[in-house]
Amino acid sequence: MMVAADILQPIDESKVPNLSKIHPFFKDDPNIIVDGVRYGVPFTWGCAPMMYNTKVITSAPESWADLFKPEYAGKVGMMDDPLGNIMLGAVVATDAEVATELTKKQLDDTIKYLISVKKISRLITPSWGDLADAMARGDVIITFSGWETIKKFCADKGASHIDYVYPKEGTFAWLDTYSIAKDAPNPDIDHKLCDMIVDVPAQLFIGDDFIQGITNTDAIAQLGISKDYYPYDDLSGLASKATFFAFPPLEEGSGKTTFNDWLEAYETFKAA
Amino acid sequence: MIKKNYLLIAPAFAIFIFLFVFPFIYFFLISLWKIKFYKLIRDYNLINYNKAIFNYVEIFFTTYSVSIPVAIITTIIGFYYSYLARFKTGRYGLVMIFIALITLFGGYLMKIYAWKTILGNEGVINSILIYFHIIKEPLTFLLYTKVGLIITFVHFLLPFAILPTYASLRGVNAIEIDSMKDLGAKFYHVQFMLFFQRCRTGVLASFIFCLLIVSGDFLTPFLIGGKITFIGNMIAPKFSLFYDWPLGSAMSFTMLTVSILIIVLVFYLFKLTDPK
Repeated sequence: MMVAADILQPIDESKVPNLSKIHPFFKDDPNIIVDGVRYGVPFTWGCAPMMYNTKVITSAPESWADLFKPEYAGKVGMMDDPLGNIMLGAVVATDAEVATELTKKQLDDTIKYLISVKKISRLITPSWGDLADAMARGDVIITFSGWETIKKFCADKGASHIDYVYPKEGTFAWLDTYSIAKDAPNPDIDHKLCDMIVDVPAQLFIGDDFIQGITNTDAIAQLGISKDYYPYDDLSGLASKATFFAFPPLEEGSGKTTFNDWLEAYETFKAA
Repeated sequence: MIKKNYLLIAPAFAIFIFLFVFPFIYFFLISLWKIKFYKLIRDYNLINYNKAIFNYVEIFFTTYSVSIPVAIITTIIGFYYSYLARFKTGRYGLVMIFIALITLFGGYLMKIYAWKTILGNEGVINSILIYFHIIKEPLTFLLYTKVGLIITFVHFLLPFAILPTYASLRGVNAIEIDSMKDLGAKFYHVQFMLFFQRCRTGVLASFIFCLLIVSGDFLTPFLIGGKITFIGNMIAPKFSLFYDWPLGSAMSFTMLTVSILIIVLVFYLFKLTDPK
């Protein structure tokens, strides 16, 4: 989208030597390479797994459909995340190949599905921190959507029995990148910054201090505490469980619903 | 002398004009405009009001189904707290008022999170009840429900209800109440007269404070209300995520109008209690 808007300049890969150390799952994501030209340096990531309380749910759930088990009614938690919830809803409830390219019917089906999840939910929190809080306090025992770092938030609150799983239907993943603006006055410095953020010291800092997912394989090998909270052992296998999606269209004309359509549809979910 | 008085109120008047009247007019004008691809278009129309009134009826109902009970409960509790402080506790009355006011220093968010700790599944209330074998499973209606919202709002708003009612009660002389009792008035006669007639201004001010604060709130329902949505929760993202200021403004003015209508209705209900 930003490339189409002509506001980014290509990354000169020769000026970002640490790029070669980035795991292919992140480095080769098609959303940051347009027509063979790279526009982003991926430095952190995460997915939207299902969080659950292992004290109450002793065997890991396998499917998003498990949310609807009668024994979990009123014990489900969600986060108020329009983009994430619609993406995940589309993955679970529609046949859309790309969760951000939805027809009107697919969007309607997604909202219907989200409303059905809301009916069995106890709360919709404003932030991941609040969802972690509700999990740790035992107010909810299972979630629709989530974040690997919530497991650490809960452990910090003394609730090390909160774990996550990637259900079989899959989920979405997000990838943050450093990009350079088209008319940036100091592109050399910008490239150095792009290189620095994926260098080992910065990556270890992001991983172990912020408990965020990192991309540099050398840094992953040296990770400490953060290694327990992300599935670094099988990053290639993660591709079959979680997918990176581009942002939904902003302008009409593609035959697909726009981000504005999503926000308006999300209001139906909020009001339900 | 008159000129000097005008000068004295000039700073307050300027603040009122610049920080209240001008933004009020600005947002009213915006509410008549529309948005196209994140840009404001000066095309005067009532589309936003049409959406604000007809698309959010259920949300308005939910909002006022909490804000009206909260305003009534808080005003009544605040009035009796003030009554005790004014007539029944002697020199400790001012201490009671000081205690009520000092809770304002606690901070809004801190109170919300404190109530989450108290009302949650593993909170203070459920833990005590389970410890004494009064209940087996936690009481889930306490948190993420309207009950939890009402408890939190009433606690937060009590100082705002106590202040105006106490100010009104200070204008009542104890001799008046004694005279009523000497003439045969029962306790409820005295309370009725004080609440609906003698301290009407303070009681209505308290009701208005509570009603407007709750109706416009979006943080408490977000944190305590579970999946309950207030109109504030729909308005807030209009100014951020949606970047639809016209619709957000129209929704705000619609909410304000509904609140004013409720206040006018309550005012006339109070007038009905006037002696014929």
